[in-house]
Amino acid sequence: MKKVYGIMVFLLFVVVATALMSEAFLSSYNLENLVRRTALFGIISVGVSFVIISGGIDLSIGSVICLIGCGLPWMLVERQWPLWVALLVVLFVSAAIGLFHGVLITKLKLQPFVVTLCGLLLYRGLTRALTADQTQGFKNEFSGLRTLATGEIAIEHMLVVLGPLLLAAMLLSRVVFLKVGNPKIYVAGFITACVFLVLGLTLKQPQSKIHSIEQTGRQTTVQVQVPEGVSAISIYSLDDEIWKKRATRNMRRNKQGRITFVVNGLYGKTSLLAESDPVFSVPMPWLILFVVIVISVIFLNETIYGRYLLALGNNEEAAQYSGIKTDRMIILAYLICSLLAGLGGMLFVLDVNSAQPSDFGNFYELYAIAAAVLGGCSLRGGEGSILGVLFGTALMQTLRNMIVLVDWIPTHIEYAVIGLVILCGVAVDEIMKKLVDRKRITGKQLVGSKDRSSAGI
Amino acid sequence: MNNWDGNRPAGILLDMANQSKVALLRVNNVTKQFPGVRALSQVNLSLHEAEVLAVLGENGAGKSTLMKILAGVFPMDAGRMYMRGQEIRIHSVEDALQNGIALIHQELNLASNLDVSANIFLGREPLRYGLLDRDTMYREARRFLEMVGLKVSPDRLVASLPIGQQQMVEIAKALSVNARVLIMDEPTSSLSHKETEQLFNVVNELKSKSVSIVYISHRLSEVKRLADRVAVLRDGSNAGELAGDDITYDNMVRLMVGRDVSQYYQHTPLSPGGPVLEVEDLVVEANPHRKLSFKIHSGEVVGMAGLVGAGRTEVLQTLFGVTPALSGSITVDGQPLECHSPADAIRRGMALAPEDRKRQGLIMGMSVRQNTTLASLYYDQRRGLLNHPREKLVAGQMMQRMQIKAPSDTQVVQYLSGGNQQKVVLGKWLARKPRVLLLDEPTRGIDVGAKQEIYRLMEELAGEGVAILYVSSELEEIMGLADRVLVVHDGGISGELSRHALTEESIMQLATGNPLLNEPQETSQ
Repeated sequence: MKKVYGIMVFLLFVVVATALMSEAFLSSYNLENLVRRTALFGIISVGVSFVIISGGIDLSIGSVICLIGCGLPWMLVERQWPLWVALLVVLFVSAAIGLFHGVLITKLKLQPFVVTLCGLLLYRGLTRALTADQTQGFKNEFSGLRTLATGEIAIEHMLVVLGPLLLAAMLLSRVVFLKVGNPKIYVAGFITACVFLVLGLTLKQPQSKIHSIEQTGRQTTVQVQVPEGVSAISIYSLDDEIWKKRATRNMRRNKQGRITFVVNGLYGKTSLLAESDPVFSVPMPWLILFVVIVISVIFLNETIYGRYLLALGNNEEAAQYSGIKTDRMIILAYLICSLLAGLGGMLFVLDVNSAQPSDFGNFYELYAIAAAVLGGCSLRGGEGSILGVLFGTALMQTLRNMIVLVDWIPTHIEYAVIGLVILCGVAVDEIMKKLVDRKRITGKQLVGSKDRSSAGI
Repeated sequence: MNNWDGNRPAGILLDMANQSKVALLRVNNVTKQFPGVRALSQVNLSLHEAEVLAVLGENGAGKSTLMKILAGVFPMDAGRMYMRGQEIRIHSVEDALQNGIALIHQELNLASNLDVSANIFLGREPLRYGLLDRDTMYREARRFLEMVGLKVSPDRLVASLPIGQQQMVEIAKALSVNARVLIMDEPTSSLSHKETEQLFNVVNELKSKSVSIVYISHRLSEVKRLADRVAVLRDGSNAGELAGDDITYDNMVRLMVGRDVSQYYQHTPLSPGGPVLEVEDLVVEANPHRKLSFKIHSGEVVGMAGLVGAGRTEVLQTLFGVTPALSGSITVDGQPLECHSPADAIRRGMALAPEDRKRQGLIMGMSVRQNTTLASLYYDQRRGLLNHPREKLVAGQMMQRMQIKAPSDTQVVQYLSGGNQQKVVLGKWLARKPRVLLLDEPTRGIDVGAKQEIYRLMEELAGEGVAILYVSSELEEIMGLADRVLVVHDGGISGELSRHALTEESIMQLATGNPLLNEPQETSQ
């Protein structure tokens, strides 16, 4: 648990440092993008952390992302398969890949590194063959499906919905699971729910109103009354349902507190709508990640299977001797990893709209593994926390963001910086462990001497 | 023999013995402490030139520790070491080699992927212009191979040699560093009869070239044949020495076993109930040519004795389902155990505290609580969720019952002493309320106090009707606790002794494969 605090502090440091060095960092556009990328990478990082906790490794994630990411638009656009068939295929293929890895590793006793390295080559090659190496995309279709990745929810709406939802879930679990479960979780959950509710209500933006509309030639001039405290507004046309104009933080108001827009096309008063932008919009992938994390945290820390996984990752032989069917648990870990990689691949392609079979998802497994390691997973297995992995992912993405935004950092050293940071993180962790051990040893000698005196017959 | 050491207490004897002649190697008052256990206390040993000294002792008596100290593998906590009367200090294997002391491990330390000459000169390769000088290597290697009478080409891969010849390569390697003291740790344990004879010839040959040999073996007949002198260790201390005609089977066993150690075994035999564990014609994978049959009754404590490597651990592991049985039947409480996995065995009320606590018994990175409940999680679950209150309760109960000394049940077991770790392993099984408890060397490497607590617990469990089968290499432990003893030799049960028929000698004879009621041949000479 201490590791989680360490990485949190580190993340906070990087966030503050970047905010100080770059104005653009705190803009809601940038933050929303950062959160979206963190969410997308977070999903695959959580997946790989299960495998790492079991003492294995999955190098095939990037290629699974490629297979699903190119396969989904290929099925939908090129083959014109129905959506539900395509989604079933995605689910089935991801699960089959995980099962395949798990069975090879447990039943044939192949090394995880080798199995998934071959997977890395295999799935990318398959994708390129399947798509004839052509870029796959959704064109302008499937905008509904794409909201899964590109959609946003105003933070106040989300918090107001999430708070009561959390409370209800807890009450339900209390009933269903007969008062079993870590009481700390209930307390934490209750507090979180309350904080959500309060925050959601206070963050609610005052409504903006259209003050006047003038139609001149082929353009419409709109004056909007913007209340104090609103930092951004959007104007939507109700006819074609897409936003036309957006004013940002440094928008200029006139004396009456109004903002003037000039919109191409002629619109009447009833067909236009002005809305205060939320302080922050939560990207949809983050909601998906949230669900993934809640389930993962419960699975790893509150179910017997999570305990089995941690135990066998620490010492597989002893786990077997304790009656744990280790093979099944290891297969399950690879299954979870590939399923989440498949989900990630789907969201990645929905987000960017097009995917090139030759490089889509390249190196993503390494980002995922790096985030898991930064977040406190030991590649020796048996150690790791889901929240740590989340913070690890956020740290990685913030670092990338910093390198892009801060002028005096050359963009090309991105990999070097990330590599160094991971190395430092792991080294510091190991040094801390050594220090703690040394303390323990000196402490233990005292205990030992006590033992001896009491053992004397 | 110039030195008539007889059977006097070791401390006095050495000083007297060495008045006539300065010993080649002498160690005084060596003490070595491992976490939780004192491996050696005040041990003395002397070795003369051109002498074969056998060091005997039961498993855990401290032989290997002493040898490793001599060879620089471990440092000693206290004591002094002299070479020809000069004090020497040995901090590393290099130091030992420089003083001419070489250890040949029980498991050979050869790089089997390299050839013979490369192994002989490993780490000391002759160079020419910075490159390997193979000509010199082969020439020199041939010389040393000749010394040990091994007729193989120095460019043969070690992996392609039979085990006996590999041993000779190891000896040649020791000679190549000018070893004057050669320590052999159970050199014949994996050799065939013929290879053993060859080894004896080499040993005698080396002796005639005034190399001294420290010979460790459980095989008393070999010791009797080879040794000029015998030093016996017991419980990490000198138990006595024998020389010349005094080296007899009886004398050696008497010194090894001792008489006065068993006051802390208190066993009250109960009248056992019905059979709980019934094993019929069981064939264990490791020894497919043997069939085992035995029964253990409710409330009965059965010991399994035998030499190291006799196949006792394999029997327990097969019973517990870790390794599959080739054939035969295992019945628990009258119901045959069909499937074979530890999970099934546990479901049927079996429990195994394995020999290797750290590798098989415990999740070292997890807490006392998590380890204690690991085997019962499945049974205490609530729809797949952990039952935290119950976990806490069980761990607390076990810590109290087992008297586990830990600051709290969240203490990571890695940092506990061996005895407390073993108690955690036992606690894990007691939480399951087992019907059959299998214990593999339950007190290995733990201190006396913890040992006693484990004995007390075994008594308690037997009283509750648990059937207990335990493997031990310590004779006193077998003698002191068991209602009945199964003696294992070469993978099969060579005999069964009931409590009133138990003697050290009878166990030793069965364990070495000799039929009972026959005095061993060696003693009658």
